[in-house]
Amino acid sequence: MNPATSATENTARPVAGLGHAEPLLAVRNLHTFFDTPRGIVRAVDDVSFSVDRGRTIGIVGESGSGKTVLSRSVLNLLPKKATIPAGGEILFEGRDLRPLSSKQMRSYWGPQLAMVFQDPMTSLNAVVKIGRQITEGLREHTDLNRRAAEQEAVALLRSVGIPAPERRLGEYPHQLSGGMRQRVTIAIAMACGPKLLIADEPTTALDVTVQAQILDLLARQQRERSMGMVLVTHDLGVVANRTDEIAVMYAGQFVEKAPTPIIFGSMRHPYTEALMRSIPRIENPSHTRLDAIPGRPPDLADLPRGCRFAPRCRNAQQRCLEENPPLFPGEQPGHEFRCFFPVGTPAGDEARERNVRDGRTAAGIDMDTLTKASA
Amino acid sequence: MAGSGTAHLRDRDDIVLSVEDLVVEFSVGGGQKVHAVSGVSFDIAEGETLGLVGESGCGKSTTGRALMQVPRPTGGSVRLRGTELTGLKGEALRQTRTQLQMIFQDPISSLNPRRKIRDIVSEGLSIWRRDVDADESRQRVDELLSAVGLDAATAGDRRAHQFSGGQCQRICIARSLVLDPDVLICDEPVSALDVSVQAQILNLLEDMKARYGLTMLFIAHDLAVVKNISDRVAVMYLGKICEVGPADTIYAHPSHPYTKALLAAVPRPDPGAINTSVPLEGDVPSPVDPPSGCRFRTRCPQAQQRCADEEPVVREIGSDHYVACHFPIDAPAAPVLAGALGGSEADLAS
Repeated sequence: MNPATSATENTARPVAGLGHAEPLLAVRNLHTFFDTPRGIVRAVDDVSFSVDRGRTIGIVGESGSGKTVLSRSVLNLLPKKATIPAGGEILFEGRDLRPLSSKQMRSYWGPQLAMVFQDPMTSLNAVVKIGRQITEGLREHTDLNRRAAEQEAVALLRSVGIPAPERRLGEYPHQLSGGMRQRVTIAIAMACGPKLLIADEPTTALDVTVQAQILDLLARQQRERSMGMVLVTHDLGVVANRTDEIAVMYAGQFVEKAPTPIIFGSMRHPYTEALMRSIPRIENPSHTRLDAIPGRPPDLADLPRGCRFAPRCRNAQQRCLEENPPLFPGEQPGHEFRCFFPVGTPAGDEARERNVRDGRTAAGIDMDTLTKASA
Repeated sequence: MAGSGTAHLRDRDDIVLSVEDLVVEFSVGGGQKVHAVSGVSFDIAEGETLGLVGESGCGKSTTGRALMQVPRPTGGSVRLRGTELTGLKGEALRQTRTQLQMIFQDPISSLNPRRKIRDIVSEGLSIWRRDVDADESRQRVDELLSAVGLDAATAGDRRAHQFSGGQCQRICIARSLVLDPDVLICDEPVSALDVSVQAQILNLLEDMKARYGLTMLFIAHDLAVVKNISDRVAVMYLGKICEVGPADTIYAHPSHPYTKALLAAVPRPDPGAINTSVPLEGDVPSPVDPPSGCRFRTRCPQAQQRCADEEPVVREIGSDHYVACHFPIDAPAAPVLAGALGGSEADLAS
């Protein structure tokens, strides 16, 4: 995974000399809203990104930021009644998936698009043997007969590192450990050789030693099959070494998107910066005071008028409270961020200095609590 | 590693909580037993935070609960300021437990949804401090709620569902402090929270510890979180202690192969950190039938015959640094550091 070659990622323009003119997946101005008794919840609000074959994009956000709704939207896995189709396109190899019915989607789920979910116990059927759960997709989408499908299932289980795979076919999910179950869900996702894999918090329910195994497994499968991958997580550590590009999501929007080294090295959005600083680092001495982000994310049914992060931001100015910033391009190719006073720029430095001088941000947050923050 | 022994227990006057040879077993029928905790010993000095870290199923939560005597340990001793808890019964145990409070992983489900926050926080007072009148009790609750960063006037009359996870954890912390306990046992208190909120709660726990003079047992699986909050760290594997020592020492120079593997597996939020270590193979064995000798030997990259035959005993390997392993990694000379990198900057994983 070399992040240096990402120049063409964010553009949908056909690139001369490449075999595939369009990216594998291109999401454009996607909106997913839910009509609830509390009002319209803007879970995904104007999100665009693309994924090429063999590349990985990481989508990072806290709970409620809309990252799971985003990944389910891409797969057309949302309850149709609950959503308000508010525009946008999901182009998979150039074809818009949005208007497709579930019946039409069935030819995509499996051989084209597959998903690995967070909790393997709930994504596996508890009363169906593992073998049948793997061969189900194979029988549906390929001409393999039962015997051949079973052999393929054994090969798949072996490829995801499950010992004694022949025996496992006849077992139920509860007979396996959490790590083994997640391997099974990966085997199911891989069964029909999908072109795009969406992994939504694939290791959050697992222990750290098992997490490393599963992430390595996903990376290997992706390399071998030249799949595109969307890795959705709340953990910056998980995406740091395993993605070409990262999008940081906050309150339904991408606030920053850039090739991975730029996100970590020269992030521009104050939320990205704050997120990095709030993580306890294993290399810091114990009792290092953490830079917490005060407050909590806004209610997606009742969003502030201006920038959605402004009430928690160190750089917030009057303008941030009135106007939601659009995505600005960064100096480096492929870098975009939603901020009027970006970190590491003269405008951002000046804004922060002004807030430090005033002792508070334009949103009225005391700068002292922003820096020492347990409140 | 993963052995027994008490060499790491300290003979000091300021030991608040001392656990010796704690055993917890659950019967699972057919004459079989889950060996959840098998001979764990540790002690916590006044004002100290001990981090207890390990993977799921290693017995760290069971250890925390056994200290509270729910369930009662199968064997061993738990002494709180010299009082043996394992023999206590009825009223005496209830009285002693007020000194030992606990907060849990899921803050929302640990609050009664039908009661007001003020009543939840003040319940300890109304049971144990009959001499405290309503005004005083109200004052105490207000003080605690504002200490944990909530607005007492508005929060007090609400119920748990009106708060976010982070706020509920603040309420749980306030509740645990109302009786001025000696020891606070935190069982994965931040693992259900988002990173930005997690940092708030970790900072809050440090503040509360300083303000109320708490001694803490902090149980968690996240190594970075444990290091951040702990003075000393004990690493557990399959019901046994592997390694005990000061947080910074253990993380800089892990002696136990398991500790080293655990540290190596932590994903770093740094695209430059290249992890060259080989991840541990396989899963944790079943605690119903744990391996003979050292319990880690089935996954240990340097296991020998001796590890199967003989259980390692905890011994001192550096200053206040103890390990239960026949073949520990030499502490200061451990060739885990890449080139010129030194001290805390070094990537332990590579």
